[in-house]
Amino acid sequence: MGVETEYAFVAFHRDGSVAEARPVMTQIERLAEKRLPHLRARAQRGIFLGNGSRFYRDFSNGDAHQEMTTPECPNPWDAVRYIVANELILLGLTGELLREDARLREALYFKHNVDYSGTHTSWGTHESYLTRTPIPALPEHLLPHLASRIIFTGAGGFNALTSGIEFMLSPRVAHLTQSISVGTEHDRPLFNTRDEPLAGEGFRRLHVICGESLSSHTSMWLRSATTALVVALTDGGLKPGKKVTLVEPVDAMQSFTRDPFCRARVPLLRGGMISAIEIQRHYLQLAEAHLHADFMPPWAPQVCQHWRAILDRLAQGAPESVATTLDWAIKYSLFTDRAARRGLNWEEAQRGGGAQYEKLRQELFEIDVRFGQLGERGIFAGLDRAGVLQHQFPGVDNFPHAMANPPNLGRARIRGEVIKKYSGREPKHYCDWDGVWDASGSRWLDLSRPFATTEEWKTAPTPAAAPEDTGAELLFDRRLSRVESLYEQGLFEDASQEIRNVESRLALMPAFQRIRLARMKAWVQARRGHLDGVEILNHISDTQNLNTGQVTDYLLVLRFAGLAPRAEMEAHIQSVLNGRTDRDLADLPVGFREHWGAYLLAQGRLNEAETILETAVNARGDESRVLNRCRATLANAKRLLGKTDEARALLEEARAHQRENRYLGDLTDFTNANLAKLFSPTDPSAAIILLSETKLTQSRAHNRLGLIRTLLLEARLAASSTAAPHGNDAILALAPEVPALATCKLFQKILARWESWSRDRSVLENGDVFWGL
Amino acid sequence: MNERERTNDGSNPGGADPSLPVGGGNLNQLRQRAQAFYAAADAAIDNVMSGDSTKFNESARQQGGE
Repeated sequence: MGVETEYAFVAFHRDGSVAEARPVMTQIERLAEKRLPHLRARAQRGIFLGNGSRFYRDFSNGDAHQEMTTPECPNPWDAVRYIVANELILLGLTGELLREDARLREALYFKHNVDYSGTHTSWGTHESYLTRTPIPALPEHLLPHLASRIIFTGAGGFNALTSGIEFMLSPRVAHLTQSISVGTEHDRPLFNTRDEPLAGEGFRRLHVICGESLSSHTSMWLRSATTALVVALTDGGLKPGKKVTLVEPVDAMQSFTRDPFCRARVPLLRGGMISAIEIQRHYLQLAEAHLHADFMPPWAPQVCQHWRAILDRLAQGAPESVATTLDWAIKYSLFTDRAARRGLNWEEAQRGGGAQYEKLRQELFEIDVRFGQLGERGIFAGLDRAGVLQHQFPGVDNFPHAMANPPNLGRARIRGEVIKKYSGREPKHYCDWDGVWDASGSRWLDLSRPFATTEEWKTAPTPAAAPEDTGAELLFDRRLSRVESLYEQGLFEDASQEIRNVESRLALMPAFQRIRLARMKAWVQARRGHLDGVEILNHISDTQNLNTGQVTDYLLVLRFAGLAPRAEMEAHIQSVLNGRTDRDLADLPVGFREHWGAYLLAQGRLNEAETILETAVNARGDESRVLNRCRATLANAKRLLGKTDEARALLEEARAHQRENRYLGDLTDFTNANLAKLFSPTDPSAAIILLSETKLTQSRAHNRLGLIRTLLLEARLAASSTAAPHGNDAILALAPEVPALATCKLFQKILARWESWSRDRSVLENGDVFWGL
Repeated sequence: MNERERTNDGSNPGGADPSLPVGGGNLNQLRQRAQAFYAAADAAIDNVMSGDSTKFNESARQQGGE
């Protein structure tokens, strides 16, 4: 069995502002490579560690979470031991990071399972169990167990999809939409049918994705132990789920998760009603009847003993009877107590209403997040240190040893020993769950047998693979980071060239990296003034079912590939806004709100633009590229509303951060342009100097579209002053290399009326990029 | 190695007591345990909370996208 845990991550600067997560996570990964014995993953992301675990970043959903996957563990004691050991490794890395990087005050990992800021994001823990049963035959026997085990495996928390305070034994249940599916990120199922064995000899791997990150050792142990027994019963041909098949497993789970008293009863397919405790007792009794069967693990008697004990305690009077043992029940005590201290009984708190209620709601959410904060300051850790919990499990110990050494059985032992032997040595080796490869291509270690006992190297069956090919993901990761860096610096032509170089090796690129490449290509093409951005995005998207992040990509392309936002943005914006409440709107990503605000601004809807952009700027305190572009766009709205002091402060702030981080594309194309407009009425010479600097940077970067924008702005500002009118020769010379301008109505209008447009001082700006038209 | 052996690592990891109820004892002991729990909870919460939960929850947002 094995367990992969996804961790939420936040880092804070010394001044209390939020650091952009992705670069800090990269720093931690680099530290792991420097400090820990490891081999790079061969065909996957991340690295394998000397204790047989894997550390990597999951790039689903944009920003991504870092994950730790335990090695294959022979029993539930080891499964918990390696989860805890890996968390100690993460803590060691963040401690070292803070010592190395003086800008950072905190780097925190959390084990909550849902996002409480309105993104509807959920993550958690995936479990793997070795089985002989074909995957399609498993759901019938596993579903009732998975639906009902949350009475002891639930993390506790709140339904993040409502605007209320709705306690749930298992908050991820709100995000499960169907009983069975192959997906893990969208339409999350209770039972995942992914059939990826990662092993040979007819073994299969059951992949359970409905679990949650836990803190209680007892909860973690019971999760792995009881599920392993249910799988063993199924492998033994006992059909353990047959008598407890549920009419609607997801509906049943929805009932169980909302009942801290564990009394809810749900309909059985064969008729009658059943509670979660009764379903669990059914499985337990079957296991007890076959304790010593060949198909059962030798530790089955101990599992049944603990299983029975926890069910008895739950029946005795949940939640109080387990309030110091199980995650959800410990949290339930904390939450209800906190509401009482705020003068609300739990029923009142859940009904909601008023400012006091919203304050409590946010406080409870923070308690949930802080509960599983790794390190001594986490609430669970504090309770444990005070000795008021009964969660520790006899035999789950010896964590320092597990941080550096693999389990003492099976292929994980061999993998861990080989990693320690070859880490940092030539020739390089690459690792995967089912093998280790010598980068010279001469030999490989076959680990496809889960219970391998000896280190058996074989001659490579295929011609030697080049190191670049075996480390394809690493190589491409670096190339993609370079593309992104070039994009940030406004070197769009160089970024485009780099994309072409990477595309020449596209066949070797993992699928998730191809999507990242295509997204960046669409951004780069838009900023180069090419029109194929939408087409590129269409290739990687289900256009009938775009999520907010994907819509944001379309908005970028439609806004930047020309002089002014295109009308098609409206439909995309409405597709996101439809059906959302005001509260939901405030939770939209900064990137979406920035494009939305810019679109409103271009429509002359200044007050609406100001409101949207202001919420985005205030939403989070990191200094990402998008946030600073947002400051520049908000400044433009403020300027047009006559709030010049506020506009100037915003632009100076954006400028400082963009210069510091070398976000030169946005600095030249947006911030400087808006600052020049601000200077123009009172200090035209400052505006001219600023635009001259901007032109120089854009010219050196071959940023033609940006340069044309600056030349147009310069001409327009000259029309408002006593300066001589500008000609359009330079613009006409550049325009053929910017295909989007050929279909840009605004650009064609400007050229057609150049003489009057570049001389007429009477026209007023209405919010459009180039006013008077 | 057969199916049964495959999950036996040779050690005896859990000479464990079952997760027995901890609710035994008289009323006074129960009350004292509850008081100790809530006192520890107060200390742990006070030690880590940000003072501005709304801002913190925003900071802890888990989502990306350009």
